[in-house]
Amino acid sequence: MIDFDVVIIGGGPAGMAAALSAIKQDVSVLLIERDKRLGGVLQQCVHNGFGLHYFNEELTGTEYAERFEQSVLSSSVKVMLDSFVIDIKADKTLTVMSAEEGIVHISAKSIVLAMGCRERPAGAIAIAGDRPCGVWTAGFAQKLCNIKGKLVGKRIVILGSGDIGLIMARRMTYSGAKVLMVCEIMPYSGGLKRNIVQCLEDNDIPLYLSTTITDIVGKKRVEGVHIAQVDSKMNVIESTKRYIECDSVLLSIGLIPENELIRDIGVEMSRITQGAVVDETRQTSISGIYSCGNVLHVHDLVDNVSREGELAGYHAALYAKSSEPLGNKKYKVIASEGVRYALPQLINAENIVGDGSGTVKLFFRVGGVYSNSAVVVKCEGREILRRPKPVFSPGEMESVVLKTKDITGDIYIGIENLPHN
Amino acid sequence: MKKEYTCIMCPMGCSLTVTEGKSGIAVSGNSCRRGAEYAIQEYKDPKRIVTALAFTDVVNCVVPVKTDALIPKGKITDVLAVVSQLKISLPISLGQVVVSNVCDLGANIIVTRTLGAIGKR
Repeated sequence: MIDFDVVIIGGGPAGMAAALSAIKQDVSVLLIERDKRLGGVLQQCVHNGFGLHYFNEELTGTEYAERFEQSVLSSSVKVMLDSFVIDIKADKTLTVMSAEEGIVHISAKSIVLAMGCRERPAGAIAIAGDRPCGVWTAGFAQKLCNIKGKLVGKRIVILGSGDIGLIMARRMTYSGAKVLMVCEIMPYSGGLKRNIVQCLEDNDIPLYLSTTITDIVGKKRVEGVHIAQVDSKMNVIESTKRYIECDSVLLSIGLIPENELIRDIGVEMSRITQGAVVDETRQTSISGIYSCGNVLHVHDLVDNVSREGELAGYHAALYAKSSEPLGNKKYKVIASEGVRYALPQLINAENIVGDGSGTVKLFFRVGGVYSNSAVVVKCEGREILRRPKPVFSPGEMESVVLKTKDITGDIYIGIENLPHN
Repeated sequence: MKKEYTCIMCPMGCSLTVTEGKSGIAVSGNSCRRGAEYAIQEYKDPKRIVTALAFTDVVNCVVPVKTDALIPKGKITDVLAVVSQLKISLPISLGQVVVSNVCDLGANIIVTRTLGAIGKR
């Protein structure tokens, strides 16, 4: 059994930030990564738009990852690559399968979960039709294209207008494929406006809203798809059905936090985020186990992932040094009208830790498109924050900053429509 | 002359219309000043950073590159054509210039990921 103060699982942006933040507290830190190199999904994010908030300049995902990678490798963080955590127990012992060292048993004082998320596969949406070769998740096609230099097809239909789908529409076009269209079943896109303009409009790729693939056609290889519009109840409108000839389908239909590792140890989970329920220090329901990044909730900006990693890493280090006694009493953060979820879901009642500046930052996502509205936060019947905004959209993670002195009970966060003038 | 754009300055995504007449350029559909500035820039001289993949001397391994300055949108295809002809020897480091002053646009093509030095993949 090898002992470490803080063990971090996952060497993507969340894990690297957590490791760098923990090591500053003079504790021993082990960072475990299953890939042969640190960086996680950023290794295949060759497009730019990263780091505007964190580094105050626009970087590609690969550049962003490499800055953190350099810092980790030049620090005293112990890094285990090519290693997979196969078991974790509530007493904070881990079993790791390492390519170099075989099975390794590790004991930690605190653990940071930073395993990220994976893509929803074709099976999750039950498309009818054949099961030929040529149906890919957008992120996997991205990995093949951007790391291996392989193009998965030449005539592409993309289902789902999440950011990965939009980014891949441009990448496949730049790499010589013809992207015929992006179909989105919702009446609005799940991606950022910037990506719709610079990935689709720049390349004359049509985006069809309220449209889905009804079935895939092809014996060995995809030969085409049927697409159709859907009504407001998501029922296919048969009269709009048409056939599109293509050789590949890319799916960008959502992400799932990769939490299998903690499913059996009793960490309280949120059904909405599919991540752990955490307090403002990102501690889960098992004391000493922290969660951050996309394994906690799916982010749209890596800058926020890095900040959350730093927060979790810092508190995990304090826990390992036993210098942060937190009480058991916690206030709840409750998502009401219009808000799909808010995070953290709990705030320590006796000793609100916040971010050190006397504030607690709440992240939230809305459940639909709300224009001319305000986010309103209430505590014990009092309104403690109100912020109007022209548009709230489910595709963009929002945040509000609360003063810790205002938090005297459970917190309610909701969206209110503003009267039209 | 009339052209339409979707504003990307904020999530509102206003539909912008730029009209050029005898009295100059006018923007409509915007909700704020930033929207008008964006529309005029897009109308007069749209620019982008281009990111792409270049082949290397290692099988099944490409290296990501980008232009280190904004280039005119209309020149993207030309820049991609230059990148597609490259064959880069590994190892190579982040920031290394592989094409200087690409297509005479005043921008270099630089590598955005260190490859070969830390570990081949």
